[in-house]
Amino acid sequence: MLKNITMFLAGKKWAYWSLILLLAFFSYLMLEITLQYVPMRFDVAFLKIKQSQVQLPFYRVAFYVHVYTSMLALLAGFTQFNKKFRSNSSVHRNVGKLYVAVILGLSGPSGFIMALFANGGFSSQIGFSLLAIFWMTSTLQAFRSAKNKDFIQHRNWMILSYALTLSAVTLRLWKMGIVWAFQPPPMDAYRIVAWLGWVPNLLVAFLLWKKKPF
Amino acid sequence: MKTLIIVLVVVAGISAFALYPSPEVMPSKLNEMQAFRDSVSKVIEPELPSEVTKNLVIYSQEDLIGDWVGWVESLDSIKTEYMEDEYYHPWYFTNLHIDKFNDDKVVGYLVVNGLKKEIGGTVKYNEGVYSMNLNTPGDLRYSCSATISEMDSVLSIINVHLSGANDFEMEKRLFAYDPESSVNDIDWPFIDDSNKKIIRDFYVDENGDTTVYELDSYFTNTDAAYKYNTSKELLTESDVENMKKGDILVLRNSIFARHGYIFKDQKFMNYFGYAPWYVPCQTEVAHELTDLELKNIDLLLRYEEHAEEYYDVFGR
Repeated sequence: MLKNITMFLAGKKWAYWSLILLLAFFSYLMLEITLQYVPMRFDVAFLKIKQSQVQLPFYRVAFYVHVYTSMLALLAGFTQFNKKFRSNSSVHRNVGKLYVAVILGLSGPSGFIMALFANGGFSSQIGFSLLAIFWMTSTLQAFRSAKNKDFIQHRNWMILSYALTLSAVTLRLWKMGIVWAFQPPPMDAYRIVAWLGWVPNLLVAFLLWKKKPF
Repeated sequence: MKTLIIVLVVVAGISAFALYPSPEVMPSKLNEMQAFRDSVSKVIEPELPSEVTKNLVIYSQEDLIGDWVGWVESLDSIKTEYMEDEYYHPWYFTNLHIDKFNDDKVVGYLVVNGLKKEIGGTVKYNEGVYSMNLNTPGDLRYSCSATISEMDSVLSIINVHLSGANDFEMEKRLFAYDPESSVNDIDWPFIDDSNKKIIRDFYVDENGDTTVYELDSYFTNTDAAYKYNTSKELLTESDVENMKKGDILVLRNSIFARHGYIFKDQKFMNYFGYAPWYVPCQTEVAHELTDLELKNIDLLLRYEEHAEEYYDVFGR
């Protein structure tokens, strides 16, 4: 099914541009979320209900590293899946390096620290921690396979990595959908999306996994 | 190597900002609220409590002094949403407070629809019946006559103008702050009928035909609101984090209700009016709040604001 869809969409200009537009729309929403935290304050938005964690200095650092740098990872989607920019282009390489550096050096580790203190108890802490770990490992694998010039594996791992990057968007969409449909207590909704936000993304990425060059 | 340096610089830069504020500027409004309470209690002169007798049945004119609460059906017509030309009359939980008598002059106030109106008039005693003619100077809407017989416990209000209201009855209720007072005494959930959502449901009958029908779903509270007493126990984040906004609203406002606060919002007046202990007789309760209550208010307020901003939207 999914293969048929991707085969159908492959090479279609309108499909590519509508995906780019969709990504642009959600990137804009994510930018708005980021801007809530500029200038740096400790009593706004998410932090209103994280008061005992905000007292911890390293949590504050992790939180703001995560908030300010994660947007950059989302931007990679605009250029990196474009054929023109691939094949030895400096744009593809530089944006790729930025992507890897942001995830492995900034956004990933800080996300992991935040995951250890996630709201909703043990289950959502495990959920978010696994997300951070898979995110970083897939990105690292993608980087290594590119270094080894194994571009099939590079593609596979990068799709996986970017699928997990998109969990920032899908998690929030799931939350909206669940609240719209069932009006659960807020923390129950949060516990559900701690897993639902990224596991389906991972599955879709696995379905797109290829062994042969294409 | 270059990348590593850039990463370190970014982390260091953000750390510098994130670590800069000292814990005192942290967002808890607790200190602010405590300071406000203390400043208010310095300014407020302790009012001489009116001489309320414990009698709920009238033996003498002095027993009339106190708080008389009851439900007023206003003759204001409010249009219903469901049908054309259908109207209903809103009910108001109301307090008629008799403060004191100067010979045959009555001094008191009336609390209706979130307003406290000074009210005055005369009292007459005739063949075992006390009758009072009360009004607010310059405001005809708050004038009424009240009568009660000796040995009776029900004050009948007749000939009311409360912008047009049916005759109604009031009972004396003794006010005292009691942390034990519980929301569990209220038999109904808190319902905000201005905040409605239509939900669709369906059933399948024996022929296998499906019928879809619509239900009105109102903003309300859940059982979580009945688990805690916010004037007695200190709530923690894990108690509150899974509460829906309705529960938080009820728990936070129950603190003010115990202190006899006159809610500006008639929804809360009516909700707490069902509690046998609620007497709306204070316009200012800030100076009476205990430290425990302030801590709970601070916590609940944060979750309330958060729920308001983020529960059903994309983001955080």
